[in-house]
Amino acid sequence: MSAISILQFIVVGVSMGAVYALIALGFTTIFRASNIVNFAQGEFVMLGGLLTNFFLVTCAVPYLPAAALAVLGVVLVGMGLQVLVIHPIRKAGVLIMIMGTLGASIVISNAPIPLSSIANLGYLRDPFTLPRITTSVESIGILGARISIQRIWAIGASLALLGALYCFTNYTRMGKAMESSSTSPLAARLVGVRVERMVLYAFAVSAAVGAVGGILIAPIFNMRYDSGVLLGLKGFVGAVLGGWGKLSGAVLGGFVLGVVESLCVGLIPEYGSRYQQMWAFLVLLVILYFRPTGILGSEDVE
Amino acid sequence: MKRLAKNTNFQVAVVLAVLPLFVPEDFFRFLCLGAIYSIAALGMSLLLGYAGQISLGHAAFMGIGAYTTAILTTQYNCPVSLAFLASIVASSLIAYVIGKPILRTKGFFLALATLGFGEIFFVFTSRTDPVIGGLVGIGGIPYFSIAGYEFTSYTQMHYLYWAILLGLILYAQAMVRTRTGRAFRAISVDELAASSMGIDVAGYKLKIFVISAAYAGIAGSLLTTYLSMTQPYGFRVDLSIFLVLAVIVGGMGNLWGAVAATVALTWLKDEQLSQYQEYSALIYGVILILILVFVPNGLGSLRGLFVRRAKAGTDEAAI
Repeated sequence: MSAISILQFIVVGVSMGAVYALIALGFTTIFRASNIVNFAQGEFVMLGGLLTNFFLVTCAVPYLPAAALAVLGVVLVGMGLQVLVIHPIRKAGVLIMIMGTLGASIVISNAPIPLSSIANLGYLRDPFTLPRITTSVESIGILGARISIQRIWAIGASLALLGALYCFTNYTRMGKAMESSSTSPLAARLVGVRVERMVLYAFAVSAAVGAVGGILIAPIFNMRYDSGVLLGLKGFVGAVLGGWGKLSGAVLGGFVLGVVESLCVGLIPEYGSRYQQMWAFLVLLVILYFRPTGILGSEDVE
Repeated sequence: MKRLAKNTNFQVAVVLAVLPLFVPEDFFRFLCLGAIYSIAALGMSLLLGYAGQISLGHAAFMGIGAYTTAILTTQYNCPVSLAFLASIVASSLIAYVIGKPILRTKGFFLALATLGFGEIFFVFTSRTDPVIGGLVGIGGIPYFSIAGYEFTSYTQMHYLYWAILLGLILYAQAMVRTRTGRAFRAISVDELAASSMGIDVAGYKLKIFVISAAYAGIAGSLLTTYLSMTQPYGFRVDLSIFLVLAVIVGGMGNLWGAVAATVALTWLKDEQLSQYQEYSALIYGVILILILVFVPNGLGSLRGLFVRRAKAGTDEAAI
């Protein structure tokens, strides 16, 4: 195995990790505002890709407006999820919350098929890829490895969103209000923060972040209506790996998970690619055993 | 005799024993499946309802039981009864190994870790072709038999499965009444308090995890002889969610409740929703959410609702 091909696997892993990082950011955003882990997070990613495809194909909207409409649509779904499912069960405990978000995941991932039958849009049930953001240059070389421009977009977007979310939570009134509504809901309410409203906004932000992830990944990989579950779980693994509850941990964990997964696939002969979807979860079991607080250390995991 | 007549175990056993006299044999198709899934749900009820530990990977333990039986009977000509015992050992053993790291976590993380374990099992079984047949799985598994007696008709299987279930429920009832059972309840309420009372929290958690995996292994082994085949998609996360849902609907810490809920949900899923084809999963998801929103404490809690209402009525009358 030459140094260049190892570098190539790392490059591929970093760009895949960018998407995991975006999904992990979505998990973290909701958790920091509400102490809820949203198992339907991966569906936001799937919907981001699926809706963009829908606007491009059926509505014949140009790429950027289609992507913007898709993000808007996913934000509405995210807010709907909070209002219809999360809000009614908010006092029922962790088990019901886990099952509720899993139920939402079942509903969202199984809705596209009947909807496509009703609206006569059979293509919605097929795997799809989205067009690339920039098409003038296909890929560039780094030290002998090739990286496609789309992957650079994915990396850039996850870093930019990390920065934006960091500034939002630390420097804006609303961001701080969101933080306070999970740290101490009662105190937050006493100083005039509308806690439930903050949770709703957190779902909206998280859905938007997830949708962007979906739009960025769909040109690189085939996506389908049922792709969300696995992506969501891997994003969650990334968030735990980096340090649960931290924005920086989510992004770091996402990137590390992407690279580790890519290296497993590339470097383990035969079994690496055959069991491709397994490595992330083995990483999870290892991290939960040896360092459940993750790489950066988390205060939220005992 | 009077005490016996009031015993739930006895009542249910009598009803199930005389049922074949009154209903057509077709009816037992779903009742057999209901019994098999109920055995797994019993294990989940012990783990979740008594000890308060969630697992979204129990389908994998069923799968381990199923695959052990399938491999031993089809490729090593092992008698089914022996393969059945091996299945229980296999699922318990893997639960013991995997339980140590996994059970250090709680709540959301325990859910994720067990989900991850289930996904590892699915990827492994669906991507391994030799011996276990990849996505196609294994077929041609013989019927359950003990000492040459083969259970082939639905009625025979009905008696077999419910007899096993009754034995397992008696074992579970006996266990939860002992010191061990009280330790589980203490752990589910407050782990810190439990450990300060001298309860070996990690040890008990591992014990209940292994026992509930053994129940799942029994269910998986029976399922594979019932269907005479096994495949990875039969043991995915949706089955784990189904088992957790059955425990919620039946009421936490209510063993017969979990059985009744499993039979009812099996009927709903296999006999009713399946006719809606591509809508079935969507409808199932919606029903799941509605259950969580309106009866998060199980259907048994509805009875309490009526009692409380009646009380409130009398209070008003008093004023």
